[in-house]
Amino acid sequence: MAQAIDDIGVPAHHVLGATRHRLRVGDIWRTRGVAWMIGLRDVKAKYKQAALGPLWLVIAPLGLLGAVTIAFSGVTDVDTAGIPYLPFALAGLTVWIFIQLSLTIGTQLLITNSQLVRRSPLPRVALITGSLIGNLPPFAVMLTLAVVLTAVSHGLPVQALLLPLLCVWLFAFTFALTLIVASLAARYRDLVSAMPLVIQAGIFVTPVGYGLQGAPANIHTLLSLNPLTGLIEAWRWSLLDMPDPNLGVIVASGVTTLIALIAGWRVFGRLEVDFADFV
Amino acid sequence: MPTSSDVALDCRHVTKAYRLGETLSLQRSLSMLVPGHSVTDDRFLALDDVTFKVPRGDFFGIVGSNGSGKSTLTQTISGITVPTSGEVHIWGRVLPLLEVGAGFHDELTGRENVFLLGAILGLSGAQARAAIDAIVEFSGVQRHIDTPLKRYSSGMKARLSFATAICFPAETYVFDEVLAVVDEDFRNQCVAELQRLNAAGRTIIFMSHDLELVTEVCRTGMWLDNGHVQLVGSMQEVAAAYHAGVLQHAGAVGS
Repeated sequence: MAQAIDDIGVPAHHVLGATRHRLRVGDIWRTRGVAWMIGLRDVKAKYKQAALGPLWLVIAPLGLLGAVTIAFSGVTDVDTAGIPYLPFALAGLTVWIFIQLSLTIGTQLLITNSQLVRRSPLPRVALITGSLIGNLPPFAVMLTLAVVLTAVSHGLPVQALLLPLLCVWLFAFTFALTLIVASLAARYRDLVSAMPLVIQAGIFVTPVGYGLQGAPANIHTLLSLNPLTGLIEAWRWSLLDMPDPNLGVIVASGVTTLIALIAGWRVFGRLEVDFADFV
Repeated sequence: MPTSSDVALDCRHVTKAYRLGETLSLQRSLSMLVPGHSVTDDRFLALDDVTFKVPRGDFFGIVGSNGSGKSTLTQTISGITVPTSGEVHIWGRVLPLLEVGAGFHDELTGRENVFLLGAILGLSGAQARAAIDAIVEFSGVQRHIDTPLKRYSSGMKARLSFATAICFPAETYVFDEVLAVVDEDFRNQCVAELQRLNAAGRTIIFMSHDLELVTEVCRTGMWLDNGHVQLVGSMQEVAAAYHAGVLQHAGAVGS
């Protein structure tokens, strides 16, 4: 700072060497200011020069909800354990849309921000947290829709009080996935081509528009391997009082989240150092 | 550990290697599957054992032809890229402005961009709010400050990014060829401001192809050639040697 020279006498000393200082978990919090600005930038930029502007926040999820309803409830017959289809699907979509959006943007993150990565001192972890902050508005709209629709149609159960905790779980898992895809895509552009496939196939192999309990045995096993399955089960239990949530799958999903967080942080920490040389 | 307070920047044997050619391709992936076939990488040293010191409060110029390693050096001392070997010692806060408009977003207004760039350079919202009037005033884009940046000319963008950078407090400022696109008036205004900052004890590291400008503003300097330090000395001496070197090279190519 300007006064530092006069006040302290000797300005702080830093060493930039081949082994740069390790990324610390505290850096996530320390860089929250710039992360917030990056998130704000993305939100503002997204709806500029659009006649409907932020209305798209509501239109886009409703469109997907309509499509899912037609496909899974209209064409096929889905076992929702007695829960009305719309809130059932909305709970799944709230989780899915946040992850889908974050992965889509996350894969391109370092590439679209390459000028920032190569020419500015922005802490890279703030780019990741910032992109997640930028995805919060659509998530908030979905969550509000889901909660209001459930409350109106058949009331919220007590365990809906756990929703904030489930949001934290969702954010943690998404953060972990974004760390991984963003750092790998900076080097291996294959991910950029692979991600649309993963997203398009993902909505069918994740119990978003249908439930785990109604699936035939062999498919049930396959779905249990999807780490999102447990997360969505937990959401449906909390929000919709879905009977008999599959505890084993929920625990497995939680464990996967922890592993993904540790792996993601290490991958990012390792690759972050030379992002500027690769993007 | 050196604790000298009279040095702003101390580069010790800084080397930066890059791989030549494409890093990944289907052809490379396939050839790795062939037994006995190995993929070799050609390496290229963008910086080769670069050692120099910038005293605190200096106005330090760096000259060199294209590809001499100037930009890699600015990236390294700004902490954007990591040296392959060697160390950069820095005392105090470094504020880099390495490219006109780096950090700006075209869809945001000038004002929104000032706050964004401020945050990227490490300032709090309060600091940015305190500086915004001075920045707008200095940049001279008052009428356009609430217009999206994509409507700006490149000169206006340069003015705004330069104004944002120098209105923020740091001990050392690093500029990489950022005055190239602005008009003479604004250039003089910037040079005056840099000299004022320098007189107030700030260190300025300045990179440019404009030998005349560099000689005018810089006290000491360095000539970087193919990643090597060719000469460090008074800026006049360095500029003269660089100029002679370029002429000699041109002569060699010509004959």
